[in-house]
Formats: sequence, structure tokens, C-alpha cells
Amino acid sequence: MRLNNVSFPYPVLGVKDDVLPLLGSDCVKINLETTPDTYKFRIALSQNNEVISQLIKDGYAEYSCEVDCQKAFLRQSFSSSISVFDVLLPRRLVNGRVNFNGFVTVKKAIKQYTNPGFNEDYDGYSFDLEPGDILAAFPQAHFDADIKFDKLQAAGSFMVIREDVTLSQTRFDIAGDKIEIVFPTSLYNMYKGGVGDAYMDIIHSSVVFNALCYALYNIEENSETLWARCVNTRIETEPNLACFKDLDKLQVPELAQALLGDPYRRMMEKLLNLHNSQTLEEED
Amino acid sequence: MATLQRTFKSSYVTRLKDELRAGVSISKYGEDAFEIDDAQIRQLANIYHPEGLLDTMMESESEFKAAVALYEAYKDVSPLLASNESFWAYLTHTELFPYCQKRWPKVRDSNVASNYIMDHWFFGGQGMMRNTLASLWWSVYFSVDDTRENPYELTEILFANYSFRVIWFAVFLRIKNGLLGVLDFIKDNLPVFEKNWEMRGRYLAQYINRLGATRQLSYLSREFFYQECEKIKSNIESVNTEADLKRVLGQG
Repeated sequence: MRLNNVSFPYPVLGVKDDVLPLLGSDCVKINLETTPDTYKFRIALSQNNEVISQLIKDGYAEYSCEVDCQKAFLRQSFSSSISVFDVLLPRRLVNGRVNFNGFVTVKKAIKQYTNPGFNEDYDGYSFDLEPGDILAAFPQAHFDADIKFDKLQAAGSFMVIREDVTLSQTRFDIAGDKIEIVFPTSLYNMYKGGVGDAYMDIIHSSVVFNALCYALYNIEENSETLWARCVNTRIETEPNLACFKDLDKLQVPELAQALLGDPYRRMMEKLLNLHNSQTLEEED
Repeated sequence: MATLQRTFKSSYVTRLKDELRAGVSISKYGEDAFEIDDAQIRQLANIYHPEGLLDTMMESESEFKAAVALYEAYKDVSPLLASNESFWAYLTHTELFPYCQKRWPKVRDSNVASNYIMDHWFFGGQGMMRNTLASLWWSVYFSVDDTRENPYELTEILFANYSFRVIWFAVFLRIKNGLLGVLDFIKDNLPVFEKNWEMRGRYLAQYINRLGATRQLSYLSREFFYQECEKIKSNIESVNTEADLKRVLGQG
């Protein structure tokens, strides 16, 4: 069920202003505990609508959380009569992004549902609801099972340089899990033959920086890729990247430099060292 | 002695797809065996290579029987692994290559399109459900019913029509309760569907899709879906043509 820009044939708390007051900004909290085999998500949904709360208490509705992992073909609901409950997911069941959609779902048929919180557009109307209908819809939350959070700082977690024997020119490919800098064989052999290791700072400030900027300019269109989610996770979690939330395209070069750890400075320092080494040799 | 199951490195799968898109490898898919780079193979932990699977699948009288053989051979594979393109690409290019060619014989045509190969040997534009082997495994995974004496009874129904399984119900497949409820209904009303699987299956899929626009389908029970199909049985029976389909869906 996609809840973006959707209207139901009955008022739903959390969908636009169908029911007032609106859900709070912290109406969904998810805490994660992990074991080697399992993810345990503690879901906490909060709403203060008295009618909905009474319907839950009387057994006509309950809290539920639909877990959706498209990549692993998982789509399953977990329900509870209380607003805080656990969802246990074996690691073997998930791959990539896991979305959590919280609801208050009708459990037993409700005749003539009305609510003082109804938007005035619904004045005078009541609704017969069936099991599976929604009384409240909470904002979606997510967890990225494929992001190695302890390795996010390394550019290699979201970028890679590889070879394509069919190419004659370098290209960037941002459709996959990582931002790929794809070299034709001739350049790739030079890269692997020593240039990459010896001059990584220059590689970072040139082709890697170019590829990253290209990717960041197109991050919205590729938001579901692993690399985009890694970048967004870093923006959300690293204080020095907080200024890049709601990224403006004018900020892209600055963000790319921040993600690569000031590549231009490292390039200049490398060139300076090379220059100084060369100067010393000439003096000799 | 049992040997560990092999798979491709993901970088090799990327290379194979590049070569296919560039057109340089298309003819290789029509040959008797696909030449691979052995250096690009790695072994999986705790998954063992099943003996005799290719022969069993090649001799299967139907896609359903081949699917069950594949699923039984890889029953212990996790959904995490089963959603991994490299794993299936390894099998489609090596151990089960002849089966894939048998299933998709156009691959031997001189003018076969690269998209055709991409869809059935890899995860192409249409995703996992068009891959020859992943599609079989996942279809069994979601339809196997251990409460039945024959756990594959409903699986056989799912495999009755390719479009029904791979196109119309592919999205709905993930809601296991829902799928089993619908298959229960079809099993109990087979004569209704045997007359016109294509159109009637399509109607059922579109009806449920619309239901999902306003209801949380994953919350609902298997019994709910059975009863819902029962409610629209007369509509199902009235669908034979595209015009009938539009009429019952209120589109004309």
C-alpha cells in the first residue's frame, strides 16, 4: 500500500488532515538490537485520538506494522494491542532496505465509525469499516540491512573503480549498488599497475571527485540505490554533514569534498611532496 | 563427498552483463556450454551442490515439476541468498545452462535480442521474476503449503499459467496468506479457471490490487482472501474477453 499522495474513501489519521489533531512529529520510534542471526526492532507508535484508542481497547482495532523488503520479496505484518511491540526478523530474510509502515488497522467490522477529530469536510458522515481498513497511518521508517555502518567513512563503501573490456572511454555508472568508475582496459591496467596505489590522492581529487559529483547531482533519481542510501545515512548521522540535509545542487561540490575528506588539500600536499622531491633530486 | 555450492563474484556478473549489453557475448548463449572464467568463482558456506539436478529438470514433464526439483535441491537457501543475482546467474550460466536454453529456445536464434537473455539469465529490467531459475524457486517458496499432505498442491495451480504467475500475480506473490487464500479458491473452482486462465486470472489480480489500495492486505488472513474470491465468483465466470474485463472492473 503506497501512502504517498493518496486518499482513502474514509478519513484516516495521519493522511493529510483527514483527522485532527495530526500525529506528532515523533509518533514513530524504532530501536534496533542485533544478534548474529536476528534483527529485533522495537516499534513504538503513538497517537492520542480518544476514539481510536477506545476502539483498540475494545478489540475493534489494533496497532500493526507492515515490514516490506522488496529486494528479498518480504512483505509481512506484525500486530499488537499495545502501541509498543517487537518485530523479530531473522537476518536471512532481509536484503537491502527494509521499510516499516505502522498502522492502526481495523480488526473487527466497525459500523458507523465517526470521530470528533474528522475534518469538517466529513461533517455528518459515518463509515462502515471492514477488517484490514485503516484508522491511522504512521510515517514510514526504514532500516538499511546492506549498509555496513562501521565502514561508511571509507569511499569504497559507496564507490568502486572497475574495468570494462568493451569500452574505449571512461564512463560513470550510478544505477547499481555503488558509484562505478568504469575504465577501459588500457586505463584500468595503468591504475592497477601502480598509479592507483602511488597517487590515490590525485585519483581522488580528479576522476573519483568527478564521478561523485555526477552521482550527487543525480542522487534524487537514484535514491533507492545502496550508494545513495549510504550518502544519505552519512548526511543524517554525521554532524559535519548536517548542513547538506535538503541538498541543493549548488552544494554538491562541497558535499563531495566533505565525503572524500578534503581531496583537493590531499592532492596539493601530494604534488608539493612530489615537487620538493624532484627539486631535491635536481639539486643533487 | 558433498561439495560446496559455487557462485559467481558479483563483479563478474557485472562484466557478463556489460558484455551482453555491448553485444559481444550474445552468440555464446546459443552454444552448448557457456565458457566462464574460473577465477571468478567462489564457494558458498553451508550450501551444498545438489547432484543430478540438471538431469531431473531436463526430464521434467512440466515447468512445475522442474520448479519443485529446483526448490527441493535448494530448500535450505535463505531468502537473502535467493535474492542475490550472482547466485542465480552462476546457475543459469553453468550447472543449469542447458535447462535455461531448453526453456528459452529463442536464445539459439541468430537474431536473439540481448534483453531476452538479460531477462532470463540475469535480473533484467523486469526484475527477479523473469530470471529462469529465481522465478521457479520463489514461486515455490511462496506457494508451498506444509499444512497439506502434498505441500506442492497449490504450487501446481500457480504454475498452470505463465502470465498468471509471472506477470499478474508477481506483485501479490509476496503476501503469502493472500496468495494461498487465492490458490485455495482456484483449486476449489478449477473448472472456472481452466476455461480462460489468462483473462480470469488477470481480473482476479487486478481486483486484489484495487483492494490493496485501501486495505492493508498483509494484515488479512488466508480465509479472508478465499471469501473475497467467493464473493466475486460470478464476476470471474463472466470474464472471457478484454471487453468483459473492462466491464467488470468498471472501465467500460
